Amino acid sequence: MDAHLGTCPACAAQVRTEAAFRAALKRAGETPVALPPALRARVLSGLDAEDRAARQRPTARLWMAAAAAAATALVGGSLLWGRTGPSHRQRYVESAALNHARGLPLEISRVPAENVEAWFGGKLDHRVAVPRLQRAHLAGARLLNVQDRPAAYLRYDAQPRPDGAPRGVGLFVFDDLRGEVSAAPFPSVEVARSRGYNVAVWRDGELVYELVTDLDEPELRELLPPAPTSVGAPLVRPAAYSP
Amino acid sequence: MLDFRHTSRSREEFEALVLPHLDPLYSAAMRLTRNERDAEDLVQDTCMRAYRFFDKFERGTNIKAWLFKILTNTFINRYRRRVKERSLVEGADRESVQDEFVSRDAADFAANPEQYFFDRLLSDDVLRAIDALPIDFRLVVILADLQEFSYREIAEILDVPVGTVMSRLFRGRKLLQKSLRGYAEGAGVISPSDAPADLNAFRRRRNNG
Repeated sequence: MDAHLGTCPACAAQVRTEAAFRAALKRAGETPVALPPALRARVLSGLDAEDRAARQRPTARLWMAAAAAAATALVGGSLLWGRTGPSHRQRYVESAALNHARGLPLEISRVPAENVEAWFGGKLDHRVAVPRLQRAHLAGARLLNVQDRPAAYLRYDAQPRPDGAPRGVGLFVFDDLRGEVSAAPFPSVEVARSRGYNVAVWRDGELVYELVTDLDEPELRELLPPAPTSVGAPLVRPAAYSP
Repeated sequence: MLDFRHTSRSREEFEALVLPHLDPLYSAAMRLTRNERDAEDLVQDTCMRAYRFFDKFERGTNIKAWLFKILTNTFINRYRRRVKERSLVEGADRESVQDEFVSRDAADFAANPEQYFFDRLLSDDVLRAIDALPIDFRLVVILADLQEFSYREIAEILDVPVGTVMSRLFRGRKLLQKSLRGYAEGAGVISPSDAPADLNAFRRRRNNG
């Protein structure tokens, strides 16, 4: 090759051009990019928030276990939450109730949960795992926003009483990577009221769930998945990160 | 179950391992998102996600590659759709890109009397040209040429075969050369007449030489 380059000015020129090109790239790569002064502090305070959330998790679970034993405490807690909870979260509650009430047509229906999960693939930034609600079966699903967030909307037909008529239940699932919507991690479930509906809110990892129904709170709670593991795996979890 | 994932020890370890890489992460994020606000958000999201999954990181392996895998995945999942970039890797576009380059660049560059014009380009121009690359090519150029990851590391970061990395890098660099030539001509570093595009003349010269 060297021999050829010695006798071929065209190829030699191309080799030199390539080398100059790589050098230009290398120089560009070495150009310092000024890290915004606030970014480091922002990352550190994000780590603090993660640590706080991790510390609160067991406490919240213990509290919920006690509260589950006493329905009155639960109702009191949820009423308190409804009155004093952040107005930011209340907007998400109202948005979910309002959009559920619109009764928009489903985009996919009468198929198994796996098909619904597959249908959402690529439509949202997060994976949707369909939670198995008690005494209810999945009727179908569509995309429907909560506030400005694209969400999976799952509709179930619930039958809390064997002799009663089926009642519609809507479940919104949306991504909240930055934890902007305050919601306790499952199995803590908080219930608020909006527009005549009860709205149960909980978080599982980066996903927030809002369940909207006109059932009363005890009936609503009977619908919830029983164990911590029964809500679909939280997802947008990065796959295997072990290079 | 109590969650001891984020003990103070792992927090310290995380900071010690990850914070030194904020600069390269931010500079790659700037090239990917092309604006400071999104770049900051991307780095922030990357660090939070890395912290959440820090227990998945295998101690002693390449932390920078691990962080870049999270960065690129986060970017692809969360930002790419927003900027509505079009992938040129699939379909007919791929052929047209390749044809245009493979048929012309050798002739242009070989016959170019100002063959060192790349030496005169400002890094800002190079970075701007990288920013204009379609995302699949931009990713490999950023990882290979700006961050100097190996083919194998890039294959692992992007979860594609090494051969795919090499072909994307080849095409990405060719696209870059083309647009840099455009800058160079625009800036008067070289003149368009310096670059005869007569492929047959080039082939004759090569065959005779």
